[in-house]
Amino acid sequence: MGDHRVPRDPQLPTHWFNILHDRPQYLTSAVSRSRLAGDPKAAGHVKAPGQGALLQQPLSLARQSVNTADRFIPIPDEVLDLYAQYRPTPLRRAARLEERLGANARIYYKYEGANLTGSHKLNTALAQAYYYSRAGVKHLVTGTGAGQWGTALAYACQVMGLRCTIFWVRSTMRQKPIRGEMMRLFGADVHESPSNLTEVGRSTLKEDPDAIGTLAGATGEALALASEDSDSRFAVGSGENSVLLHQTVIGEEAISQLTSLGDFPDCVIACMGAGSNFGGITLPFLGAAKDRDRPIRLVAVESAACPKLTRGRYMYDLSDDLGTTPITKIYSLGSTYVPPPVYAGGLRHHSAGPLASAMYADGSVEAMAIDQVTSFRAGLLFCETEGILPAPEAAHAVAGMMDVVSRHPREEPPLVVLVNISGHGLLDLNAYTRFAAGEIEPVMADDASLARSMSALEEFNRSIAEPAEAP
Amino acid sequence: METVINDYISRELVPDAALLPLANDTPLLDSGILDSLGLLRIVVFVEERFGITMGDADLLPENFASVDAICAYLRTREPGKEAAHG
Repeated sequence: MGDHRVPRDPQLPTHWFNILHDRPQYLTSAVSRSRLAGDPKAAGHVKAPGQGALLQQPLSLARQSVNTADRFIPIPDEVLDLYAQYRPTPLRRAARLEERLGANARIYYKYEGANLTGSHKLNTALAQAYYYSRAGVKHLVTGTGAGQWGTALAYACQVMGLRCTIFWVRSTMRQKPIRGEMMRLFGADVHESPSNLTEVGRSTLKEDPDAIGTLAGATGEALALASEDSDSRFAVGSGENSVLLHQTVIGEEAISQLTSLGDFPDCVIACMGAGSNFGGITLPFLGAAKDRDRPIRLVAVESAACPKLTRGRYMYDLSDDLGTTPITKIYSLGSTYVPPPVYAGGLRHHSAGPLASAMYADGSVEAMAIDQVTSFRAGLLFCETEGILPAPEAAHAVAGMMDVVSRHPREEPPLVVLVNISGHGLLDLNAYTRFAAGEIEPVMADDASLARSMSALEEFNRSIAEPAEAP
Repeated sequence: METVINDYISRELVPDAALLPLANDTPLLDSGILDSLGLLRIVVFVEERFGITMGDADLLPENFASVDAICAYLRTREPGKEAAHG
């Protein structure tokens, strides 16, 4: 018998980069539920009393989220073999786009859309399915916004022999049903969220039978179902430190690829949902810039319909409607905020994850909010010039990059920028077609919903007791 | 052992004095005293205090249901009583 493993490219990283080693201060943002002075349900903040997201993650994964000792964490051999099927992903210079923009810049892009499931989400889906499988879990349950995470987890579960159930935000599921067919093709059970399967879903539907759904709601439903039996666990596609850790293969590869081209970016740009593709490409560059003793700009591009960084508050909040996720200090619009339906479903999460939030809070990250018309225009231009149709989320990153480049003075040396194209938009052709026909409007944050959710968020924070004095 | 575990949880994870003194059979999970963060903290504490390494298979609700449950689990980790811990 021969060796049937996929040969590994020398540029495939063998370790994940752990920013918590360099910046352990980013780990200080969770509070125990025991500090909740009152019932958060009373503040209208969650739909059911929280039991705590207990014991959902295998210990090996949970440890990754709190590890401050190791700068690099080895990628398990089994996961590396799976990464080798599609990594390294391409890093290319967008020369034709530079020319079209008349840019005083060298624009590079990293393309994460070339794997089977079409986005960067596979990087953590494979790692998580591996760890859960090794821990004896038989069934993973999750919530998904744009559907990219659900697709990736469905495939990863199939590879690892796990069952998979997905709650998919209703508004996005109806926009691109074919992605649901992919999830089912990979063996997953897919449910529209809100659903009648869980109490939290039924509660939402009772309030509003036409509810368009949110990722917080889908996450709450997934947590509820996962807690029903001991063989099932909840898996999360973004926000968690361990998820961002797995995504650092993107940035590590990019450093290696740029180094081989003799270049290093002045600015790294990615879209911001809860932070996984953003952290994946930027965190290793924070480390590399420190090693090289040079500055670096990191720019997060969010949806104007869900501007958690530019309009949110840095407060303690939950990530789900059920109220079972950890209470962490995050930039949030309030977990009850219902962003208007936009095509970039992956950017509709009400908050950034704790790590991305800490980076923004200490000034390591800049942020800008882009409306979907501007993003589709940028995505289409990227397609025309570079031959790649970005997912609507990634189109926000392209639009942000174009904004940054346009502001760079012509008399200065060319700006070197790197933008992450986190996924392809081939299942979003309908959206691009509607944009080209002039049928898509800019969608901004819903001010009335925002005012209500922010008020609930502030009340929730008032319910958190100060920590007890150490004896 | 019960005193060590009880003292740690009382000192680090039960900030509301109304919940003290903590009985060894007080439910830690159902009461919300231990959430995911608290669970991780106590895992790290018992690993350092008792010189063991916990694996994925050890992270079961029944092992953390109360101070008594944690101690019962730890006794299975005493020399000569080691089961498979992945």
